Amino acid sequence: MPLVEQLPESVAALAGAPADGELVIAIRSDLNLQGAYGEEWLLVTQERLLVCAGGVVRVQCPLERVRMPACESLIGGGALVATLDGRPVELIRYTNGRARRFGRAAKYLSDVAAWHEAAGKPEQAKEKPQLAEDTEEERRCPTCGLPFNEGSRVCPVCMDKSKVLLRVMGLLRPYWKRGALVMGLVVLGTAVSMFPPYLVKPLVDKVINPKEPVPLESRYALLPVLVLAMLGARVLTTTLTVLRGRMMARLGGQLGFDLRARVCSHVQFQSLKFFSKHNTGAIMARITQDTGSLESALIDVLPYFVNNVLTFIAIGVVLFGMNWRLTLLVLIPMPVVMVLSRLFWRRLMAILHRFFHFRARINAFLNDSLSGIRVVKAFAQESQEIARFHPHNAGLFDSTVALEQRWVTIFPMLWFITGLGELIVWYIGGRSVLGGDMTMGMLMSFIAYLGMFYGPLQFFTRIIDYLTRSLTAAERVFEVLDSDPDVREAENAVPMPRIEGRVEFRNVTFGYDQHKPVLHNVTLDVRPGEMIGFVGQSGAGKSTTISLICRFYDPQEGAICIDGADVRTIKQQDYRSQLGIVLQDTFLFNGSIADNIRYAKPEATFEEIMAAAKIANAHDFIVQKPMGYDTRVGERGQALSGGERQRIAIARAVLHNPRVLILDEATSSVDTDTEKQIQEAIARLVKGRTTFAIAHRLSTLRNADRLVVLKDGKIEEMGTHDELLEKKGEFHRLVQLQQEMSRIKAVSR
Amino acid sequence: MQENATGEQQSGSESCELRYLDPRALRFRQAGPTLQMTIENECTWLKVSILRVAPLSNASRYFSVRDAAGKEIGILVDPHELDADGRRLVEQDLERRYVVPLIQRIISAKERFGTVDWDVQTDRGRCRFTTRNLREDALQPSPSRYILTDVDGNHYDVPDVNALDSASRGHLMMNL
Repeated sequence: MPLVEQLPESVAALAGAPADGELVIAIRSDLNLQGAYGEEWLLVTQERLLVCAGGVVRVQCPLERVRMPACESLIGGGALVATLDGRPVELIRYTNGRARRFGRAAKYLSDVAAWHEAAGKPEQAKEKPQLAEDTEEERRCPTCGLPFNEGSRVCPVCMDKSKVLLRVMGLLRPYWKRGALVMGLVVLGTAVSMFPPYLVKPLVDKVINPKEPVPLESRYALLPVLVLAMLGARVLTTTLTVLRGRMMARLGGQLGFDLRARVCSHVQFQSLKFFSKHNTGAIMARITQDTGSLESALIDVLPYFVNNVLTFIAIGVVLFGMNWRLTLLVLIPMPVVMVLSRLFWRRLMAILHRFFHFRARINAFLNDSLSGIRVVKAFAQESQEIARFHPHNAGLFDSTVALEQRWVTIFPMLWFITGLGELIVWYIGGRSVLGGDMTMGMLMSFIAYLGMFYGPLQFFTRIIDYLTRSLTAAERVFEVLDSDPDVREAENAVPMPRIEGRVEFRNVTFGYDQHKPVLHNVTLDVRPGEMIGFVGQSGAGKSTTISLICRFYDPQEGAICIDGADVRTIKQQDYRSQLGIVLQDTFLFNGSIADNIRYAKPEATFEEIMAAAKIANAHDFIVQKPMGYDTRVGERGQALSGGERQRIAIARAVLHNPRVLILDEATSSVDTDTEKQIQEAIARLVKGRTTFAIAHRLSTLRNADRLVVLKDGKIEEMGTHDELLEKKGEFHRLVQLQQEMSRIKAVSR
Repeated sequence: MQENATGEQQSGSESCELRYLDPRALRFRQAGPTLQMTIENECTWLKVSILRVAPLSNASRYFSVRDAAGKEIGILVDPHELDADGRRLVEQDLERRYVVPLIQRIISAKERFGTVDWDVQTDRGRCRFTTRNLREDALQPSPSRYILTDVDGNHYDVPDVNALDSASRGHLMMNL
């Protein structure tokens, strides 16, 4: 995203027409200082900062006198503030749509201010800061401005449909022989389907109602021939349709299988940023629904399209050949049918989306209300819940009625208008038959072909929608296949088959949004086998620190080193295979308890699994279950209590035998007795391993070798439990707060 | 001394260690409905129970021997290494504890409002039971073995679907 936008001449003149290259930042805001919509400009050159508004330069200041620039988040927008010559000034305001641009500007101004401050200190001399590359993605299409869907950068308006179509066709390349065979069957089937209506003409004109005298015997002889020919054509059409359908089912299934496998395996290797950008449901939709749409487009829509085009052309030629005047008359209602169809489908899609929306809302409401039934009953809100249900129910009722009524109104109307063509044929054709210009057989054949003509016409009114939807789904699938993980293994990554466990943070700065750091210049050196406890209030940066150790993200500045080597230079497989994690929200896969423990080490023997479970204080409760280690644990381990899930997670970590262990709030959701068992298991687990633990309950970190107190993304204090208590600093304050809370809880009981 | 999963040496007396029982040192005795066990040169337990540690995947190996209080005494890996009497008594106890009929023939299976009423011949006699959500709840420990669970939580074992007659196989696969 460029930070030098097209300047209006008036603004450029106000700013003294800065030369090309002199302007570093020139961005437009859409709010004035009073909060009303209006255009103002922030300009930053190599030397100065200006704000131009209302035809005047409202603020002008040399960059060296700008201090503490920052973006203040407001509701619906923000403000860029700074201290100029010692006075705090609100420079410019903007709405949310412009927030990222002004965030980048604030970061640049902040870097420049720091550079100016260090200017008088030679030992801190650095290069003049440059405007950082914007690594964040646009939220709107840069061409047409259409907002992207969450987690996607596909613009259905601007995407190059022909390119996508070619790429989609490329997916069929491994199956081109089968695809060609299917197309061949489509063509053959279309050709054969032309025969039965054609045979109606001789059937009527030569057998049933001949114009000229034909001997009765001949008529009797010809009748079964023609009927058998019709039968043969129908049998062949049916056979071809069945054959084609079965081949398409197989081809479609194979294509879907390949697509899903490719997308799923590509997703598995994405970094965590991908999963924080796309929610689980959206990813699942890409793997199942979007691949299904793409499969359907290739296997159903494409042959259907070819079939309809061929049918339309073939029948059109036949009709024109039979009677071009009549054919032209028949085409009169067609434009009306096509326009009405298009309008109808557009309106119907809107109503259909409304219906889906209300149906989803009712499901969401019920899920909420029934999942939280304890809360409902605790507050005696049953009647209110019923009252809240009513508008959702009413909305669904209204949209269902609208949908169904529209459906049953429009289709008969379309059928009626389409049928007008047939009436025209009967009238004009009937007069032609009566006048001797046309035979009865030809008229009936004509009407039979006409019936086959309207289907393709209606299809063509919807082909654009089908195509757009299919290509959008295709592009979403390609988006996943084309995305590369943010956290990548270096090309020359070094193997590290055995980690000693020394972990260092060297001046690490990191933010999920690169312009809003969560950790600032953190430096920490952890010896092998040491246990470090991270403490701090919510938002201090504890979980972020853990995520960086796990290399779910890479820091923007500084480095994390393992045994002296930057973690970015180590083979990821080697590092992750020696890293173990026990999280607060334990995730167990659908499978048996043994399968879940074995997940850490698939080649483990059953005795190793039992031994790990024993160390984790899990063996006893497992064996006492009717199915023992074969007990199935449902989605997210629902058949087990929180403490049981936690101990299985610890057993998994024991079996993994990591060199570096992460414990994230591992005991915060269980009762005291279970906590004691888990504490015991954890104490066995951490022996000899470098451990990083987070716990809100400070007593659980009593055995840590050192505690690191984080505040606002920085290390506030560091030391043993007793040293920090003596210091009477931030840690002491947190301990006192917790003790106070415990006293309040005890009294209230 | 034994090595635990972390590769560290630990003494057998620590509670985080599994104890594997030596079958040659075990003696079992039946006293009425109660099974008793003696470990040579150690002590006698007047009531023990034998639990399968993994009844589906390892039905004939790994048994947890527990005392009257439910505390584990140790793990018996393979009861075939016991003496003949011991083997018989352990198998008897397991037979008593694990009531899992083996389905030999499926006489009928009728679907009714989302449930299936089964009429089967098992190794314990003829039996009728009802299942619900069988496709989600049936266990498949191996490609040809199925464990069905009825609405009362009872389990029924089809050890080898290929060994069933074709009619029985048809009934089963239609509902799975």
